[in-house]
Amino acid sequence: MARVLVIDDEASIRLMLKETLEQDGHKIVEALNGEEALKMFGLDQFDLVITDLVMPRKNGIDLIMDIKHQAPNSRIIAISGGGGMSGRFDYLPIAELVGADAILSKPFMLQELKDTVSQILAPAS
Amino acid sequence: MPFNNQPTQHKQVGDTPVLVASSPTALAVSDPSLAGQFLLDRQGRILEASGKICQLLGYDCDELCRFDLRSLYLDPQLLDDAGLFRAQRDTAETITSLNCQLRAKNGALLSVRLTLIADGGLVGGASGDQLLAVIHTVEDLSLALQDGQTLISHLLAWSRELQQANSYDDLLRLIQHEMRERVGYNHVWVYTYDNMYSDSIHILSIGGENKDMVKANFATIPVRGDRFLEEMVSTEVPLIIEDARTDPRTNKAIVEQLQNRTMIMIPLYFLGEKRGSLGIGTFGDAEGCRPPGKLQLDYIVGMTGHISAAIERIKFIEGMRDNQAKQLELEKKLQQSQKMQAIGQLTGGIAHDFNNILASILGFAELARASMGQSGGNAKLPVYLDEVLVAGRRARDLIAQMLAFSRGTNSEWSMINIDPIVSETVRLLRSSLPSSLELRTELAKNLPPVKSDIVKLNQIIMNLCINAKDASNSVGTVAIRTSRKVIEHGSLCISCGAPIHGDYVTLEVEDCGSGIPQDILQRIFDPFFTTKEVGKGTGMGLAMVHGIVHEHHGHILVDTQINRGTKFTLLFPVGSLDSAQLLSAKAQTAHVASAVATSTVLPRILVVDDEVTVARFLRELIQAHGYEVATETDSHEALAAFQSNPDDYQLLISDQTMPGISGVELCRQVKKIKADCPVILCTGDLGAIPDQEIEDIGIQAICSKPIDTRNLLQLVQQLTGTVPH
Ligand SMILES: Nc1ncnc2c1ncn2[C@@H]1O[C@H](COP(=O)(O)OP(=O)(O)OP(=O)(O)O)[C@@H](O)[C@H]1O
Ligand SMILES: [Mg+2]
Repeated sequence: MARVLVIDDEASIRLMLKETLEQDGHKIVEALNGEEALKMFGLDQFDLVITDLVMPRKNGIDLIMDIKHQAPNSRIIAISGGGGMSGRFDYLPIAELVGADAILSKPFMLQELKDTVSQILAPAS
Repeated sequence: MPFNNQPTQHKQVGDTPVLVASSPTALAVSDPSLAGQFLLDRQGRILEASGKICQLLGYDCDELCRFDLRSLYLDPQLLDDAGLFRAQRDTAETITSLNCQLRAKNGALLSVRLTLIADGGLVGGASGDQLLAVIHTVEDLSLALQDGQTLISHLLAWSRELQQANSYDDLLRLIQHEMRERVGYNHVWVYTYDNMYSDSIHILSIGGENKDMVKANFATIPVRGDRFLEEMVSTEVPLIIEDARTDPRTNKAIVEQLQNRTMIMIPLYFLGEKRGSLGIGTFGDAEGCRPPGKLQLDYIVGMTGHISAAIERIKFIEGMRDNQAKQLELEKKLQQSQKMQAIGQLTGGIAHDFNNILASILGFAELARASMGQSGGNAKLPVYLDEVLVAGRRARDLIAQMLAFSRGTNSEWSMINIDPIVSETVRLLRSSLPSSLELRTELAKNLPPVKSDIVKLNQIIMNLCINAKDASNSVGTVAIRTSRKVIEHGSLCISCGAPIHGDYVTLEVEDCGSGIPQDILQRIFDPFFTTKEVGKGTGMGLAMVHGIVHEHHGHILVDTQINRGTKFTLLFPVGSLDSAQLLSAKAQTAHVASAVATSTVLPRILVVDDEVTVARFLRELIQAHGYEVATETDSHEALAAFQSNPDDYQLLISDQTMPGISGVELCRQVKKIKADCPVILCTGDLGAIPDQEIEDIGIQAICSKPIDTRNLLQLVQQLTGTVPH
């Protein structure tokens, strides 16, 4: 049972993540973009951050860099549909480079998500 | 010419003796071409008719007497123009000769020469008001064309017809018609050649019954060694072979086969240059040997001037048609490559959205599927949801393919020998293809390196081999060959239409499969074009091959035969001095230079990218390895910063596409300020900047996007001559 901050600008993806992870007993907090997420991150404690990368108002790469600055030990999973903002970078590997612990490309199988989450959380619990 | 005893008088008309009888009815006919005569009044009405002309026209002689000559005459105006009927009765004898056609009772036209004689005193029995028309049938030009004026007017009329001819076929038809109707030969043909010394000649086209046989046997004929043809090509005057069977110059085997008899070859000149020969001839015993008379020959030579001009004109027209067709083809190819580019861009833009949408569709379908188990419900629902999942996954795979097409993830260009990559890829493939299919590799050994990307090379070999497998239903042999070829000129790339020439390393994949029908050959490189059933092929395979090969500045050739098989040949240009080699050479010097300057403080690097996130990311990345990094997002400001403190920076890393100053320009300016400052240019479009320019400016390295960070770090390390922390 972990507290998970889920960040995606798309409501349906947030809902899907929430429903899936709640099945495994996790507690989900949602944020719409990087800016909102950073505010919540300052106010609360999270065991895991799952963030989309391409978002308005602070994208996922910036968010990961900021979070890692604030709390270098935070665990982060980046998810993305690929393509990148300008199509010039594939953002998932960048997310990994700037500190994401795992990456998942959309669309993914729900089991993949569950496995990744438990893998990332495993050492801590 | 024997005459009867009637009082007769000879009159010379042109070259032909004309028999004038005192009594028309008593006229003796001994000249076979003499058809009879009419006695006419001054108005042109027929008073008497005699001889076989009545029979030829299909009338009784009595019947004819009711006619006005003009009503039989094809062109009454011509008759009037002769001024005959307007002549005064006291005029001295008037003799006019006219070539014309008379209309028979059944409508047929009869070619005749009319000789009109008006002389009351001479024409026996006829008063001064009467005219005698002596009629000769005309079968042979030698009779018809005694009048130079007529010859010229015929030729002119015919040349006007020739101007309507827009193809060689039209032209041949017109020549053949004229030759048959006016000169009396049934067979014509035209040879064309480039000059008098050419080694072979071409039959343009050919008339007459032997057409097919001749065409099939001698479409292009070698000249050397054939006395007849050699003489024909070199002579400037008509070459006449009276009897091809006995003439020493002819090739007897051909004569035997074609049954040649008389052959007349007339040189065709255009603007003083000999461009071909007009051939006229007889074949077989039915036609026999018929050498031309002087007038026939004159007329034929008169024709050739017009024919030469017509050939040149048609050549020009056909050339234009050719060019137009080529132009159209080129435009089509251009559209095609634009389409591919558009798909690339589109994919980059929409793949992200599609993947998000699919994530929802698939995710919720899965959630629904999982909750089915708990709540029971309709037994069919899980089946339906499985379908949603299957379809969703297919869409996901398609987008993954499109993404791979639009830009190969992780492109790494280097100078490589393709042989080991080919054998490695084939080894990998072998395990995933049915054993009924033999994969045979024939590698060239010692190939020069080409500038290539291993992953992409892999992709294209896989795609071609999988297509080959599909085309041959997994049985037979697929040959994969490499070689080196110098292509001089001539071939066009099948997918981009560009002419190919140069030194290439080739990669061939040949199957013994179904072959590709001509009508779809032009479309196989189209994105999404597939003949495979739904779900089997996405139609992106060859589109990707096209894209990748052309990224290599290469080209594609396809040989295919229905039910025989298909051979795809990929051509990769043999590498010249390019940025990859440049990089290693320059990097080494940079290494030496900075080794001398040994510093404990790692150098300061200026990173310029208009995209904040990218600039920031690069800074994080490079800083994380111990370097000091300054970033600029405005290229003008970057230049200003560098200018004010050039010694603060030991390396410039710049994006290429930026508003304001472009990356190349920034590098150029920086080099002007500080020539020994190494620069790395990041670009998504490798081909856009010419190697020459890169070299001229002195850019040490090109980093292709998407950026491989390890590669970038390695470059930073090499160019600054440092070991990162
Ligand atoms: N070796 C071949 N022999 C015969 N036809 C071929 C061959 N290679 C390609 N084709 C034809 O060209 C079409 C397009 O090929 P392409 O590789 O682009 O797409 P695909 O094989 O149909 O699908 P995909 O490769 O995306 O799975 C094929 O559907 C087939 O009709
Ligand atoms: Mg294919």
